[in-house]
Amino acid sequence: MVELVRVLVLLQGGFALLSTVEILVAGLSTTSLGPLGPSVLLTAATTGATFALVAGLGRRSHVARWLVMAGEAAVIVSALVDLGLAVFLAGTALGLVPTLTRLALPTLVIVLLRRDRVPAGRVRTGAGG
Amino acid sequence: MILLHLDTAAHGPSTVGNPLYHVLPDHVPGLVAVAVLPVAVWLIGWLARQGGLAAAVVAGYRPLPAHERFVAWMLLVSAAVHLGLALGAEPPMLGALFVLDAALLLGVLRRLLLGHRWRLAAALVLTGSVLAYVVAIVAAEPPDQAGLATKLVELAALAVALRPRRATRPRRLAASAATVSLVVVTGLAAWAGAFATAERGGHDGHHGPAPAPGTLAAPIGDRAPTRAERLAARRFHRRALRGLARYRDPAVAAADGYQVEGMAGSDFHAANPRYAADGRIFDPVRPEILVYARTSRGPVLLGAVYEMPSLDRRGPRIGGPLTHWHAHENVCITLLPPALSGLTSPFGGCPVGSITIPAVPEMIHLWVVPGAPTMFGDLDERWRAGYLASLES
Repeated sequence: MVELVRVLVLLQGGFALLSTVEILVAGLSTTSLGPLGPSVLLTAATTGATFALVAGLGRRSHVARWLVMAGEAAVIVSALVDLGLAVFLAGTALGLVPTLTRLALPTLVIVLLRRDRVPAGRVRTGAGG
Repeated sequence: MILLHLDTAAHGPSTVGNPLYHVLPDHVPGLVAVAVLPVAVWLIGWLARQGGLAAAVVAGYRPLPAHERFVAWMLLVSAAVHLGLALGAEPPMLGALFVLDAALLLGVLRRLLLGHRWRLAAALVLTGSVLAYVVAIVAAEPPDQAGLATKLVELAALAVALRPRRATRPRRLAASAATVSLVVVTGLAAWAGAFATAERGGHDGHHGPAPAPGTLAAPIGDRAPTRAERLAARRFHRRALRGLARYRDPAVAAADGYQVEGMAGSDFHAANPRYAADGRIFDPVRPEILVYARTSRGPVLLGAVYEMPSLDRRGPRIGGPLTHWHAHENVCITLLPPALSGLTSPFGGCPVGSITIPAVPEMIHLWVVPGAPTMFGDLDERWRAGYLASLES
């Protein structure tokens, strides 16, 4: 079960890396990186953290599991905010791909993690590396 | 290939966006095929009771671990999409390729369910399918939501297939690097394909049948402006030139409410919340936004943007095709601090800390720089760069 979760979180790391590249390009091509600096740093840090959590899940880290669940919950909340904006501002819904990546995928990760039982003797702490 | 597609509700049925954020009509059969997949699965379950291959498939599925069950479903979904796409695909050769892809995916699924070695075959077939899509969207086919969702499904299956059974650290790192690389390459190819689609559709990003990603515009066709429209456009432009001249000095603009602080780059948009809420529409001397470029000689006023007050109101086309309004969709706004942070990524997200604005009201650019090749609409990027370079020298 955790092996599948690792793969799904790894995919999310790929999306985050793509997002980092995109915001760098957006900043350099339109205005300047100045106003986008905090956003660039946050997106890059999230990318790094996501890959660290993939490694943490591989070591069956208890902290990593909880951080992944918290992160997935944050992704779902942000998607629901965007869904609310789409419905109330434009009378539309999220697109097919955002629905899959920002609602279905994080929900699946949370469900899989909740179903998975960590053997007591293998629980470790620490999400790094 | 039809580029007109399902529209956002906000700007009415005549408005067109880039396929990147929509589903192309000829890709709908692929999604319908996924919708009827549960019926097919139920049928397999029913047939399994009669024995034969269906029984072997069901028997092979039940003991699979979670990650292999996941791969089985992803292969099935992707195969269903490809079979759906094959229906009515043009040219027929494309349909044949879709059928071939579906057959290969189902072949891998069969190996998985019957207990044969499947990872290498899955890796080859799925990598081939993803890379074929990458080549196709960069070369000819517009990337759309149906195509990207299918590649997402395949990338997820591929990520599992690439996990080495004997997990040494170098092998695991190599598998992870390959997965992440394919995700990034597919995303970048989608951007390239989306912009190439707009390039192929018209002479600029806004006026073709497929506008640039993030732009919504009503197609204007090849109609030339009438004499009255030409005169109206020129009259409006002259009034704007006279009225906006004083905003060459950003201090004057600031005194009138334009947000000129933090001016940077060659396309700085200084909004005026007061004018945005004053109830005046397309007032030549009270634009909602001024456009500046920051140069070594100081700020240069390039033009202005006139915005409609709400999504459901269309801008006045006083100059016919000369005054071609457009809107934007899937705009990312970062909250740290508030600024435009790009467009929604092909895989559906904005940068961390950003929200997605689904659509903004119609707007039109007006240019005041001497010698600008157009009064309204898009300013040619090369011309803008050359003009700014001439100021630096």
